[in-house]
Amino acid sequence: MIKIDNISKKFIIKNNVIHALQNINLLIEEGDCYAIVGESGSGKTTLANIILGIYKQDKGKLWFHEQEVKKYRSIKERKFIQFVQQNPTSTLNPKKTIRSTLALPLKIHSIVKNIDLDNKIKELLSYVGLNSDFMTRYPDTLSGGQKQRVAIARALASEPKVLILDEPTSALDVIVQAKVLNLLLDIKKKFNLTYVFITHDLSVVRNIANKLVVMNQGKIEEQGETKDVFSNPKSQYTKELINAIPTVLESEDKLKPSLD
Amino acid sequence: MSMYKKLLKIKDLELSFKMYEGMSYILKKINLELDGGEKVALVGESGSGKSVTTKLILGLLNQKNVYKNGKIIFNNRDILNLSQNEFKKIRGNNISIIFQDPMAALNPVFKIKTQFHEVNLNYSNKISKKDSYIRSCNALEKVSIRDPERVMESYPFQLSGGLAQRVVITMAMINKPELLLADEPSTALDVTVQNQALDLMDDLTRQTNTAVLLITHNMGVVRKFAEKVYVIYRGVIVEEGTKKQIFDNPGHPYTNALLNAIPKLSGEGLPKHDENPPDYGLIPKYTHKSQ
Repeated sequence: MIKIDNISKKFIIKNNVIHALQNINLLIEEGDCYAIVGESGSGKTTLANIILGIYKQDKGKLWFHEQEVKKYRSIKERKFIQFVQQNPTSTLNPKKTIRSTLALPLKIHSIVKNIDLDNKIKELLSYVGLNSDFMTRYPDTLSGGQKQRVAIARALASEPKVLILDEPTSALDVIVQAKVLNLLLDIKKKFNLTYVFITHDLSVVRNIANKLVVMNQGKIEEQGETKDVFSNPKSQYTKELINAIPTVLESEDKLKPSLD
Repeated sequence: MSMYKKLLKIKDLELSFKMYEGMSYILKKINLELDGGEKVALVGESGSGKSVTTKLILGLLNQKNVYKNGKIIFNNRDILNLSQNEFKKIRGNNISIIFQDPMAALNPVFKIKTQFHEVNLNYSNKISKKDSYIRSCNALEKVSIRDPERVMESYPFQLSGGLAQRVVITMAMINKPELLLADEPSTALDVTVQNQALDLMDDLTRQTNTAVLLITHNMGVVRKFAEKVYVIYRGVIVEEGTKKQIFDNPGHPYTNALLNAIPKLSGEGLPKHDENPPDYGLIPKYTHKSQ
């Protein structure tokens, strides 16, 4: 579905060259929940921004559905892929009601006629477990979990095929996190979506993703099926990452790889 | 545990805010005890009243519409209604705090050395800038920061999140306080850095025999760090016990819910959540027998 072919990206800050991505190759297939894992500064978000078209890659090619993505994307190509960001507070415009936040992508991509707008917004809110009372409310009257639900509803508005989730739950507490993750899985099944899931939380990855790639300083450290990587991590860095997970059960400690 | 002296004792603490819609009751008769050098965790979800407890201990809630009741006894002295001048002597010297977001805790317009100097003035108000610089550099070196001079000359935004949190922890610990309040110290950091920050806190507090009150929502962090655990739900302590008791034998359904909410490494799928959870606040508190 998405093919990333030898992509590199560098940033130049005050004569320092930072290689954010170096020769990245990935193949994300339809129906995958593909996790991109790594610590801060490893290039996860840069990769997501390139897939979204916010940044342009310096080198390499990007393919959607066997078609190469050109420098300028058509509105159809943009509709195809949507984004849920990390911090729900800063992604919603504080001056707009939830209704107008959700109406914008519907208008841009002309999903429904203007008469049906309100009904479609109610439908979108119902997908994420919110009732229609929320339409007239402003983001600052919502809790963190509710805001993240609105952000997910907005991403669903343009009827995408791929959702890029950039740490969607790291700003939420554990109980809300469990609810939002369950919601994401339900939505994935319902709309037959493909997820690119960016996170540093490996215990979430273990339970939600079927494939993963571990990134470190702009390079791919390890990739493969989630099960295989967790049961038999090859690189030292992956082992350290898995070991760092704070666990609650003794039986989980035994699953951690030993560090040499 | 009798070898320790009681350092902090919170007795029947109540807190409410007067709001436009009416009174909002935040804490409902909280009881909590901390011995010297002990590591205690206060666990609960957002809005349960964890952070306001730390603010009360530091005397940061003095607004007109705040109503507080009960006792906070620190070193045999009730500090709940002390004046701000009295509190200034305690903050930074006897009690210090680490906030969740290191970038927000450091002032972006001052260099790290200036901010360290302010903390050092708490230690001695006659300390010269030069002495202060040396004192801070030594402290930074101890937490294995290799180039303390560069860090001292930097602004907070020039540091990475992990490094900034190290600086904040060092700053909180430089005056060897008796009590350290850690308000979600690792939530804003990624897993490996989170581990390092917790290890560092553990190490420093052990050296100075500082007691820690750790505020968090993550039971995994509690398991790694704390000796004693209090579980708080909507302003009520619903369970207390040692780490072993809480993790081996959780007694309150809310504690179970917190434990279950964490995705497990065994990969049995996402934790299932109750669509309509019971009102945990109505279920009586579960106290484990003391050992």
